[in-house]
Amino acid sequence: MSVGIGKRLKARRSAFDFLCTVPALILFAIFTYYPIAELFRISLTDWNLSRATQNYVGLKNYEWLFAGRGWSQFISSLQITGLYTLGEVALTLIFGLTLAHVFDRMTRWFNFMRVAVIMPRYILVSSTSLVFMWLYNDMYGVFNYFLSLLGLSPVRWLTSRDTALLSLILFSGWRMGGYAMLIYLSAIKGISEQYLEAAEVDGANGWQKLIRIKLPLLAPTTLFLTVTTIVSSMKVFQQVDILTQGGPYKTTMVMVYQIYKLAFEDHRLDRASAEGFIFFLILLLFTAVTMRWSNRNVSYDA
Amino acid sequence: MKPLRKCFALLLALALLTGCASAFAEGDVLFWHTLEEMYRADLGELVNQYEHADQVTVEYQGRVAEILQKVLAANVQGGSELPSVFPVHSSEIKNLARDGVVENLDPYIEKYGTDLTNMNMKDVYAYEGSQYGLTWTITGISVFYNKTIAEQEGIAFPKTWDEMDEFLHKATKKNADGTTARYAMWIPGWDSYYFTWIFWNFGVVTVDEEGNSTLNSEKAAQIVAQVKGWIDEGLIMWGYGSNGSSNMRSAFWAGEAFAIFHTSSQYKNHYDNMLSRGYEVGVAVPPAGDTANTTEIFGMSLCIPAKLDESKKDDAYQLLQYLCSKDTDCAMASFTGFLANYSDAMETEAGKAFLAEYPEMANLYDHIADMTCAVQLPCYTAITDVMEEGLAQIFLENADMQATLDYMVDEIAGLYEDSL
Repeated sequence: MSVGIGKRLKARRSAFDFLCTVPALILFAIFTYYPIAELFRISLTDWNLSRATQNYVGLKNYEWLFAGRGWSQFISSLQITGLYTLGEVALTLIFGLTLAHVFDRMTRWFNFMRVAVIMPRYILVSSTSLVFMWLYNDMYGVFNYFLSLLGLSPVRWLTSRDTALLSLILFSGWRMGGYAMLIYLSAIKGISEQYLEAAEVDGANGWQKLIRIKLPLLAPTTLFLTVTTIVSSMKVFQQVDILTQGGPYKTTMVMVYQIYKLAFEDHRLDRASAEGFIFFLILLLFTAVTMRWSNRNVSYDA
Repeated sequence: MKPLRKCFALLLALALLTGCASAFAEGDVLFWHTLEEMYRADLGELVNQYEHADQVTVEYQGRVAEILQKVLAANVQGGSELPSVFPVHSSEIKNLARDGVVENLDPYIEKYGTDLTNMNMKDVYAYEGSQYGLTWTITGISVFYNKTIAEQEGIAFPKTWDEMDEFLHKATKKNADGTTARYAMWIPGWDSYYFTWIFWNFGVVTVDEEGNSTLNSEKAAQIVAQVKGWIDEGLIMWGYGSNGSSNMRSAFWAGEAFAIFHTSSQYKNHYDNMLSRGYEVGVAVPPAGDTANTTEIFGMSLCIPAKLDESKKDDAYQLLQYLCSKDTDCAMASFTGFLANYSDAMETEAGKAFLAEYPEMANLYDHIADMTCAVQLPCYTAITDVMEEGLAQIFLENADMQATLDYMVDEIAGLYEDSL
């Protein structure tokens, strides 16, 4: 009898728990799942933004993407997005970790400096991009002015095929480094002093403590930052729109900007949706694989 | 309490009714425009002179491409957010007319007896024999040069391509180390309309209505090689990339570029900025080639969205007609630098006063009839990207010339095929 009551209570609690999640699920359904379903539906039509009608065309847009003119653009954008992502992730992690060690002092001045370093992350990308556009200016920019003081030739930061993507990565690294520092700092504070004291007793120096103790214990944080930075940097758009518009010679034509151009410059919402849907699947697959790998390989014991 | 409550309810109802009435009276005709901030006060003045100005709401909604995006988005939503009147670029109008986005203006032109006889570019805004927009702004690719330096150093801007070499050497100033202190000419390579004249004046077809291009012809290669030589010599600067426009303006205003190619709509901007630095601006048309003496022209028409509420379309047309009328447009030309939309506008009192104040602009008005509109294709933007990137690769990155020109022609054909 008491077992039956327990079961009923458990079932009631489960139902209550589920009901609590319903509002969030509804929001998810409206703002996440529905747009994805709609994206897929549009990709099966011939919708040109200027036309009122949408006709079902089956997999024609996917045929264009994988076996037509869309393929070279798609692959090229994917490669550029991959390179950009790799650069931004590496720079963010290195910059963040370095800053976290430099700023790991709890004094008033360091508090102020930490805020200054984090600030770029919270200023509009469009505003900071405009500032960098002038800093990067090949004729009148500050960076080239400093180079000239050193007797070096000016660099065409945003207009040369060799430096445009790098310039975007440097900008994003500058934006995200402070944020990564903040996350690393809180993780460093969570590392038990016992490990570091034991290492000190064994004669480990600062570098050895960093490499052998801190970095392994910071692995979950590194993983978190890696995954979140990868997902956000693969969706990079605003700085590309303002600083390079995908140029020069499409060397900064990242995936989202390419999709935007298809949809809003060429008005080909059908093709843009097909490309967008495939890109969504790529991101989904990547996130799933990374999470699975991390669950097996990363230790959360700090 | 009851009478008091009734009074309150009555007052509330009256207030609501008054509010509604004023909402209907004001802003019934919504006009979206693209004019930069420095021109908005003057545009506001022009609209205020319209006899039903109290019904008009004027809103800046970004560049012409952004406005088109907003109109298309409003169309998708059902049309309730649409403006009554909005500008459409000359390269887009036929596609929008074909897809039923813009209203056929023929019935209104007939109803209000609008005279389009001398309206420039009106055929550009027509589709299958019907008028879908009235010419609002016209801008032609022009040469602005430093007239003060020209007079001091006896430099004449070339009228033909044959005179280019001598001009370029004379107008260029070099530093002791061989770098260029002042470029003779600055050609913006970031937008195709700044350089199409180079090809058109030699009979080279950049792209026609069937997607054909002769950009890889012997003639085209010969001209490109010549320009490349001048660029390598430091006589011409080929502008390209995100900072291109600001660099060109700064260099021109600082006397580091003798002549630049820009849209005529930038005339007032250059005029004012050069004047503040003690320079006068001369205006010319690009040098003629062996087959033509043309330059690219484009502009914006004013249109009415087809999905606009039927009851608002008459009012919309009346505003559109006022804004595109000879006198109004002439007034706008005087504060912007856009070319007036009627061929006889400069013969009016307002036109004569304008030319008396800005005599250099007469050099452009003399050539309006020779200016050429680019072909209208749904994939034209992508085609211009190919031209801009291809030439920049040749001029700035030393890419193999003939191979790049061949690639450009193939790409243009491919884009055209893909758009069918």
